[in-house]
Amino acid sequence: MSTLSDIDAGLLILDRVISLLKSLMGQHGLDGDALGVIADSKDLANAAAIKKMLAEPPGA
Amino acid sequence: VKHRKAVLAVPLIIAVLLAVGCDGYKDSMNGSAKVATAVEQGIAAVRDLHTNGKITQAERNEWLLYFADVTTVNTDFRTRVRAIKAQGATGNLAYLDVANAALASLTSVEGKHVLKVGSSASQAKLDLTMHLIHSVMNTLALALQKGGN
Repeated sequence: MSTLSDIDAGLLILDRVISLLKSLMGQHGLDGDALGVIADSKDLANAAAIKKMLAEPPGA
Repeated sequence: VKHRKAVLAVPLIIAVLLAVGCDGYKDSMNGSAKVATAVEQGIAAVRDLHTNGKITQAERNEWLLYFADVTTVNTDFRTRVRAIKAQGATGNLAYLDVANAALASLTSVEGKHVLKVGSSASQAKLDLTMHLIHSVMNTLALALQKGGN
């Protein structure tokens, strides 16, 4: 049977795991709107780069 | 000992499941950002290969036109994803049709262009970019399907 110290140890580990997950989510946890804005800006930059390169004269 | 493991395991599993829970809107935007990043890398690869004389200007331009079409598909994809979110959709299945439509568009775009270059090494490098773009959207569709709801 689990003792109180077992449960305390489990909660302590759980707390540490959640902290780790929060840390990881903070690093990679941009929300959907932010990711959409990043994609918007990258698409715009890509389209501009393509347009510029296609406009280059042959041999450029 | 078994009880102790159970005490430790159950909350851990719940925490992990909550942390990695599916979010169709966020996953879709994340996939779209990855597609844009792959296109960005593809443009850089095309530029380098052309600058180093590995591909001709005509070959470069065909790949650039392909990347332009992918960018249009990607932009349209986000427009539709935002519209679904604005309608108040929750869960993943609402976004699955849009992801599948984008996947079909990407396949169509791949067939539209003659993406062959003379150098086999250059071909392999460029094909990798195309496969990456395709697999990002394919993985998203699979994830949305698996996530359900």
